[in-house]
Amino acid sequence: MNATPASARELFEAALALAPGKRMAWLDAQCLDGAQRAEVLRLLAADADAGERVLDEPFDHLLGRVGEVEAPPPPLPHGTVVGDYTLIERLGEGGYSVVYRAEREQAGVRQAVALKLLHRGLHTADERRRFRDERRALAQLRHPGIARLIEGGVTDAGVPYIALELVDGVPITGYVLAQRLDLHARLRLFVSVCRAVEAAHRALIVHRDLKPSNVLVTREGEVKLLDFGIAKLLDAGDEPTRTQRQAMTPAYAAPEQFALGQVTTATDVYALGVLLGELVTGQRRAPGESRTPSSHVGDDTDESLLPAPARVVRRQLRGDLDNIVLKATATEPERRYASAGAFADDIERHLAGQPVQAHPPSRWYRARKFVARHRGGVASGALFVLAILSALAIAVWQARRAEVEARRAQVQARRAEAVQAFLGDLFRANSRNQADAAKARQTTARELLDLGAQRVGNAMADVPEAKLSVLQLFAQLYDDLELADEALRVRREAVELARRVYGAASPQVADELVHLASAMQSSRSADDERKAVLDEAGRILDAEGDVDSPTRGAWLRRQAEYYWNYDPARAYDYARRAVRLFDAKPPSVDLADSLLSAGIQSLRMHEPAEATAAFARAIEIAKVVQEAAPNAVKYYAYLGEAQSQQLDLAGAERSMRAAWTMARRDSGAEHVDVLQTQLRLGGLLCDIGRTQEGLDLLRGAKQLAIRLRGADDPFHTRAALSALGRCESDVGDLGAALANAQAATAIDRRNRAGSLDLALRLEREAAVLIELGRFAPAQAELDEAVALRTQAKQPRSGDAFAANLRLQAALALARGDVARARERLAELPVAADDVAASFDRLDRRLLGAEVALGGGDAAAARAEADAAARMIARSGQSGALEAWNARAALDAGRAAALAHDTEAATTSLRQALELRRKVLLPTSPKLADAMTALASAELDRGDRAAARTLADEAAAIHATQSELGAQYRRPLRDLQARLGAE
Amino acid sequence: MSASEPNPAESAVRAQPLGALFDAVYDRLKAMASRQLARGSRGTLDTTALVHELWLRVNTGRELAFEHPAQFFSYAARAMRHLLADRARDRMRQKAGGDWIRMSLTGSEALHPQIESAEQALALEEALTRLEEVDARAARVVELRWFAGLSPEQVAELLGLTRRTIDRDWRYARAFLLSALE
Repeated sequence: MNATPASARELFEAALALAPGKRMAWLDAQCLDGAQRAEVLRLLAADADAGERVLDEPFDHLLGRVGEVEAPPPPLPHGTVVGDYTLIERLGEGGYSVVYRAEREQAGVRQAVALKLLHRGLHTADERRRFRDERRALAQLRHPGIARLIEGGVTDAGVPYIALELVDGVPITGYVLAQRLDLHARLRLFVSVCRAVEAAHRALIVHRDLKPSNVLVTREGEVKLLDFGIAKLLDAGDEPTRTQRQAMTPAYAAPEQFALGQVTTATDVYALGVLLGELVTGQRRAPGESRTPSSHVGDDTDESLLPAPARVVRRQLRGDLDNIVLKATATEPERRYASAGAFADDIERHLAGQPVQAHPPSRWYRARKFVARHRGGVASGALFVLAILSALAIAVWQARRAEVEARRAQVQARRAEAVQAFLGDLFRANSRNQADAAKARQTTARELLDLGAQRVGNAMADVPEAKLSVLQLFAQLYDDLELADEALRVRREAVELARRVYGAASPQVADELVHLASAMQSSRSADDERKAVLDEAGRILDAEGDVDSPTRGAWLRRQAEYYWNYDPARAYDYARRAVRLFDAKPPSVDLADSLLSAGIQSLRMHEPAEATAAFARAIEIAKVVQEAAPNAVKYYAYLGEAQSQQLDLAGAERSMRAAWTMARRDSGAEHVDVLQTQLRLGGLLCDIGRTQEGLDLLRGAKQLAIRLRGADDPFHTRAALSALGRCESDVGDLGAALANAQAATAIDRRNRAGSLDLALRLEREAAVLIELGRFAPAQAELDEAVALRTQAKQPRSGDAFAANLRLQAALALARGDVARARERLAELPVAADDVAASFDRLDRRLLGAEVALGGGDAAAARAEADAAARMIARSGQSGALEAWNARAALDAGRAAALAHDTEAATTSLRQALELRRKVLLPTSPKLADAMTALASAELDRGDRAAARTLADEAAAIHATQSELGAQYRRPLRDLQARLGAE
Repeated sequence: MSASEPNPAESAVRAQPLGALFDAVYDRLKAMASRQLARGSRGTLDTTALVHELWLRVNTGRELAFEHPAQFFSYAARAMRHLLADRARDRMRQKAGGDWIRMSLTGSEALHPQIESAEQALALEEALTRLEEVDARAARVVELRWFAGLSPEQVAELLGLTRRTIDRDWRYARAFLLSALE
C-alpha cells in the first residue's frame, strides 16, 4: 500500500484499523521480510494482551514491589567489639540484617551467640523506646523450642543489634529428607514446631516470618525456632497504630500480609500450614493454592522428597490431612485454626485416629457472611421465601435419613451441620441471584430471617436436635443483625428445646442458658429473670463439676455483667475469675473481653490504674487475635475512660478519638459502636471545656440512639440522654438538661429498678434540680440513691458514695443550711495537698471553699480555693481544666472580697469571668454568677458604672431562665439592692 | 502515518541532557518519597501526588527555574524512572549478597517477588531505552503518563499534541514495551 518502506509502527497501526480477522491476510499482502513481519505480529499480540501487565497497573505498584532499599552497611572486620561481644565470623546476611558469630566472656565462661546487626538505624528516642519494649517482651519468651534472645542494644553509632542463642541445626525440610522420616515422624516433628509457636502466641508474640530456614532441627532432633518476633522488632521504628511494614518471605506469607492487613496468630498458622504441606508432599504450596495437597502428589513427583511412595502418600493425605492443610491455609484468617495449639491438637487427633475439626469450607460460614453483607440491604423476597422453605424441607429429609444411622454424638453433629449447610447454601444462592431479581418485591435479610425462624418452629418438630442447631444459627444471625429482641426470642426457644432433647440438667442446657442470659442483657428483659437464668446455668455447671470450660468462662462473664449493677465487688470478683480461666488457655477474644469486664469493674471501683493495664492488655490481644480485633473499639473507648479518670486528658482524647474513628470506619455511620464512642468523646470534650464540640457530638449521639434503638432503649438511648443531660447542666442549658436527665431516669426506673445505674441517674437529675431550685425533689432523689447504694453494700465512706454526699452538701448550701452542708462535707475525706488531681478531688476542695464562704470564713475558703488551684497547676492540664480554674478563681475572689481585699478580689473575679465566658454557654447561670460577684467587687472599688453594666448583663441571663435556684437569684438581688441604694 | 503535528514544546519532547536542574528534581522527589513512606503510607507511594506536590512547591517557591511546565514534568517523570531503576539495581545487588541460610526441600528458595519485580523493572528500563531510539515521542508519553502519573489530557496539553495522538503513541509504546518484555 505504501510506496516507501513502512515502519513497524505504521504497519502496526494500519493493521489495528482493520477487523482482527482480516489482519493476517492484510499482513501477508504487504510482502514484508520475515523479521519485520515477526515484529509486527509481536506488537499485535502484545496489544491484544489485556491482562494485568506491568504498564496496566500504576507505576507505584511496581515501585512498591521492588521495595525500599537501604544500603547494607559494610561488613565489620573480625574482632570488632559490639556491646559485650567480639565478632568472630560472618554467618550470613538477610535483607534486613547481617549475622555474625560472636563471643563474650562472662565470669571466665565463653559464650557463643548469633549476633544480628540491623541495617536500619534507630534515630529518634521514640524508635529506640519501641525497640527496647519489643526486645524486653522477646527476652521474656522462654521455651526449649525457641532460640532465646539473650540481649539486645544499640551501638554508639545508633545501630541496633540483638544477640540470639546460637543454634547448630538444619532447616526442618532438609532434616526430614536427611533422616528419611516417614509421614508419622514428620507429623510428630511438626507438632513440636506448633507447640513452640503456641508458647509464643500465649505470650502474644507473633513470629510473622515462619519458613524452613527459621525452623531448625538440632542433631539431637530437637526443634528450634529462630527469629521469633524479629520481624516486628525490625519494624520497631514504625508507628504503633499503623500496620507494620512487612519483613516477610512471600512464599510463606499469608494473604493478609500481602494486603498489609492485620498480622495475627492466624498469620503464623498460615505459614505453618504451608510448611506442613511442604513436609508431607515435598513441594511448597503456591500462594493462593486451593487444591488439596494430595492432588499435588503425582506419579512424576520426585519420590526422594516424599515420606513414602507417591501412591501411598496420596492415600495417606486424602481426607483429614488434606482438610487440615486447607483449613490452616484458608484465605480468610478467621477460617484458619485459631491458634498453633489448635492446629497441633488436630494433627494429634489425626495421629490418634480420632475425627479432626477440619472439614471442607463450611457453608454456615458463608451464610454468616451473606447476612453481614445484607445488614441493611435487600434480597429478593420471593426468592428468599422459596429458599427458606425448600431449605427446611430438605433439612428435614436429611435429618430423617441421618436418624437411620447410628445415634452417636458425632453423627448428630454432622447432621446438624448438614442442616446448617443447606441453609447456608440457600443464602448464598440467593445472594448470587439477587442482581436478576425483580426489584419490585424486595425484602430485607431481616424479613427473610423472620420467615425462616417462623417456619422452623412448625416444620422441624420431629427432628429436635437438628432443629436446635437451626435455632442456634438463627439466634446468631439475629445477633449479627443486632436484633436483640428477636435473638432473645429464638434463644428462649432453644433453651426449651435443649431441655427436651438433652434433659434439664445437661451441659447443653447450661450452654444455651448462658447464651440466653447474654441475649437478655442486650435486650429489654428484666434483670431478675436474667438472674434466674444465670442461677440455673450455674447449678448445672456445679453439678457437672465444670470449673474451666469455655461455658463456665462465659457464665463468669455474664455473672460479672449482672452484678455490676447490684454488687460491684462481686462483679469484680467474677470478672477476675473469668480472666484467670481464659488466661490458662491460648490468647482469645474471650480473654480480651474478660479483661474488658474486669477493667470496667476496676474503673467503677475507682482503680483507674488497674483498669488501664487491663484495657491495654486487651488491646495487645486484639492486635494478634483476629477474632478480638473488632472489639478493639471498646477496649480503646474504655482505655480513654480510665485515662480521663486519671486525668490523663490528652491520652483520653487520643484513645476515645481512636475508638470513634475505628467505629466509623468498621461499622459505618449508623451503628451502636459509633454511638457509644461518640458519647464518650463528646462527654470528655465537654468536661475539658470544649463545650460546643462536645455538645454537637452528644446531640448527634442522642439523635443516633433514637434512630437506632428508639426513644426508650434501656442502654444506648439512656446512655446518650444521660451524657447529654450532664453536659448541658454543666454548661448552663438547664431546661434541656432536665428533660434529658429525667428521660434517662425514667428509662432506668422502668428497666433497672433497684440498680446502681438508677442511683447514678437519680444523682445526675438531682444535680440539675438543685440548679433550678427544686430542692425538695432533689433531696428525695438523693435519698433514694443513698438507699440504692446502701442496698448494694457500697460503704458510705467509699469513693462511689462521694458524689452523692457532695450533692447533698451542695443542696444544703443552696438552701442556706450551712451547718448541714458542713456536716455532709465532713463525711468526705480531704485529699492530701500533694495528691494527684481528679475531678472528684477538685469538686471536694471547691465545695469546701464554698461552704466556708457560706459560713463567712474567708481564710478557710481562701485556703481551699488555693489548694484546688495548686492541684490544677500541678496536673499540668490547666488548658483542659479551665472550668475548674474558673470555679477556683471565683471562690478565691469571693473569699478576698469577704476579707475586704478589693484588689485581689477584682483580679480573681475578672479571671473567673473570662474563663467562664470561654467554656460556658452565653446564657449559663454560672456565667451570671461570676458577673454578679465581679460587679459586687467593682462596686466595692467604687466603679459603679462597671458594676451596673455587669449587673444588667447578669439580669439579662436570668431573664432567659424560666426557673432558677435561689442560690443564683439571691446574690443578684442583693447586688441590685446595693446599686439602687447607693 | 508519520507524526507531523506542530509541536510547540519540542524541547520537552527531545531527550534532554540531564544537568544540575534534573539532579535537584531527583533529589527532592527521592526525599519526598522517603518521607511519604516514613509517614506511614503502608509501604506504597502515591507518585502522582508526589509529582504534583513538588510542582506546586516549585511553582510557588521559585526555587528551581523551569522554562516551561513541560520541562518540569519531563524531569519529574525521568526522576521517577531513575528511582525505579536505582531501587531495582540495589535489590539485585542484595540478591547477589545471598541469604543467611538458603536451603529447602526443593532446593533453593524461590525467587523473591521483589527480585522478580526488580528484574521486570530493569527489563522495562532497557526496553524504554530502545523505544527512545525508535520513537522518542512515544517514550516521552510513557514517561509522563506512566511514571509521572499524568492523565492523557495533561500529557496532550503539555506536549501540545492532540489527545488522539497521545492515545496512539501510548498504544504503540505499550505494545512495543510489552513485546520486548516477553
